Amino acid sequence: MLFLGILLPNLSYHKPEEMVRFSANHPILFELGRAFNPPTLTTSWTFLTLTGLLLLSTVLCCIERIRNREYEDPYSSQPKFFRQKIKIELAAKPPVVFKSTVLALRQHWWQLGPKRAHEEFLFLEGRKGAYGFWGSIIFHLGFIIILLGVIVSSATRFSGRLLIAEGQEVPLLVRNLIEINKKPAGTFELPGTVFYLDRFVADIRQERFPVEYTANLKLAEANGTTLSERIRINEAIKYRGLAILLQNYGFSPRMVLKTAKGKTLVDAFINLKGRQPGSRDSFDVPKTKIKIDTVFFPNFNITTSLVPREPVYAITVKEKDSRIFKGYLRKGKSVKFNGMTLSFPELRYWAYFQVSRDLGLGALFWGFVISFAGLLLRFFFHDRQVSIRIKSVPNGTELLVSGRSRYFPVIFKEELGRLARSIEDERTGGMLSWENLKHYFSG
Amino acid sequence: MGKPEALFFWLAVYAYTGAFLVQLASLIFKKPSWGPIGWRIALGGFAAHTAIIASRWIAVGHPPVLMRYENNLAGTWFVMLMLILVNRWFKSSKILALVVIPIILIMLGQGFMARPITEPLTPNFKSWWLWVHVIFAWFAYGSFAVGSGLGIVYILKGRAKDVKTKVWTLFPELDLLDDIILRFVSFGFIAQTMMLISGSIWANSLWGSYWSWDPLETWSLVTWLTYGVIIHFRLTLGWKGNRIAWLVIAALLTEIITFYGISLITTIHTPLLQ
Repeated sequence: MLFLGILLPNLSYHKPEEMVRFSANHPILFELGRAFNPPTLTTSWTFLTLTGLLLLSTVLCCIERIRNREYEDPYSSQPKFFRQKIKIELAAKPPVVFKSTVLALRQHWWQLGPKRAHEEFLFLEGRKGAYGFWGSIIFHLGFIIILLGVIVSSATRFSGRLLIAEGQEVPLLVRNLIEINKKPAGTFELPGTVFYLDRFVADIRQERFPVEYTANLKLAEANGTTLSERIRINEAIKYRGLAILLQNYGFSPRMVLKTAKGKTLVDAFINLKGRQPGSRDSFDVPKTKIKIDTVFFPNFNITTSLVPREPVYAITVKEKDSRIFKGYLRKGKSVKFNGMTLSFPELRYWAYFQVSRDLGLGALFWGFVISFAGLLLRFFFHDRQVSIRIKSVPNGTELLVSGRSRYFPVIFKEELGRLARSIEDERTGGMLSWENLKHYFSG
Repeated sequence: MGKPEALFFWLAVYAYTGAFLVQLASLIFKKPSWGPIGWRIALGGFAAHTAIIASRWIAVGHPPVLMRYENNLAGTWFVMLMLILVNRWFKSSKILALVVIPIILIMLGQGFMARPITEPLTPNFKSWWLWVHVIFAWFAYGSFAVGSGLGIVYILKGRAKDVKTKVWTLFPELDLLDDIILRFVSFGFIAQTMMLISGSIWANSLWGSYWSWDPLETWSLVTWLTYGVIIHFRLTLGWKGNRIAWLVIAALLTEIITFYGISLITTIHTPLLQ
């Protein structure tokens, strides 16, 4: 269903006007897209039940693996292990070979096991990667914590957006948020602190490339304290358990519309959509039937510029759907139509801030860390064991290197070969090259 | 694209093409001694490839991680790096360049056909998590791509009537290929995990949500789960050989859809990919 949801049109990533057009042209596809889009699917009971079952299955699987741990011990004789053997003869006497073997095992990071002596033989054992098993358990434990974090997160998370123009004050209350994704759960309430956007700065290079956005906020608390905060993209601030992020900006022109008799019909900063040259939006003049469509150009001299040096709005004024004026309105100028005067004396920025709270984030973060640590442990450590038999023979010493590994038989074979070559050096009197070593493998 | 970058770009393309042709000729004309020559040319291509990335980095003031051209440039570099690492550990696998180099050339070409314009990092990208996210994404991509290439070699060599013919002896033994495939899939899985984790943390600081079920996120998760299932089949159920090779080849499709297919759909990641 998720696959289907991905391929269908998703309401979240299209402009409202595009979706209206799409719903009119393709009503069935539109309805399917609405029903199967991933955010809807993943908050459905079916999905949550599946997540719960996955959580339960992972927990049970981990418990079972820990309980059956003894059967996975490489010292047991379970058939899952690959076995390799190398038999070589060396000119040196057994005590020299024994010493060289201990040295080689240590050099190759083998953990030395019990040493045993028999009438005819000396035995040495080494082990590597015993922690690998726990790597897998740790990874799954991290995964369980992540799933729990997801559940806590979906139960406690809320987010909404606060839109403020430069010079404007907005108290942080639910009723002032636009686009609330989810309301605060339980008894949690927003603090009501007054947010004031002091200044917004868009650093744009070569007229076209934005490199930094900064918003300077003043937060006036109920007790009279005022905090100053600077917010950048990607750098959220924490305030009373809330994360506040700078997310978007646009332009807010001051539009003044007066009648022929000098009556002011509108005098306000209007937060219009878009900041790119050619961005379209419109607004209605209150208590009249006048609608003004706008097309914004930040710099009329350079049509691709994003810097508002010479801001101009191409405007179309309509009254009862009939056009009464079409023309350009520059900052600091005014235009006249039907006896009315529309002026544009000032341009400010608006910015919107995401305000969110999520109690599952800590669990998610630590779940991530634990999972990753577990994976690394699993990747770099996998159980393997080596057992070395040293036997005295008339011409020196016979060395039998045998080993078993759960995974990577060929790589393990090469590892045993490297170990054998380390044992076989000038002190033990061998002349074993890597090419010759291949012929010594058996079993 | 500046002059030094263009120079290195074409040097790399010619070197990779030359390396491929020499490797191919060594197979067709049964001249194993030509193989190492082809490999050295490929290493020269890799040096030029590194120089493209360096000159691009200097020109734009940030690592090449924006848009299709830069993504393909960095991605193919990681694929080649993976191949070099395989050869560092398993000398018999130089011939694999024959499978991997065409993929690199196609990707470089596709990137070049896109818009290789230079522009500074936008504020959205100004996060340390970007580097972690992108580097691990390309490690994962490189590992899975090389793993699939090895899977193809495994299938072809396994199906050859006489694996003792000169051509097939140039490739690593089947058991070794099987081991290396598992290594690459495991490493890719770890890298993909880190990519998802870092992406999620970055998304939380950028969009205020660690997971949005955006199509790209969903497909990255699908890819991760697919390779997770393959690792479970291999390690827990003991599957190996042809079955795993086929699965690894098929699983690359999920990665291709994630990187290329999803860019055809509008998502919150769209400006990052195109």
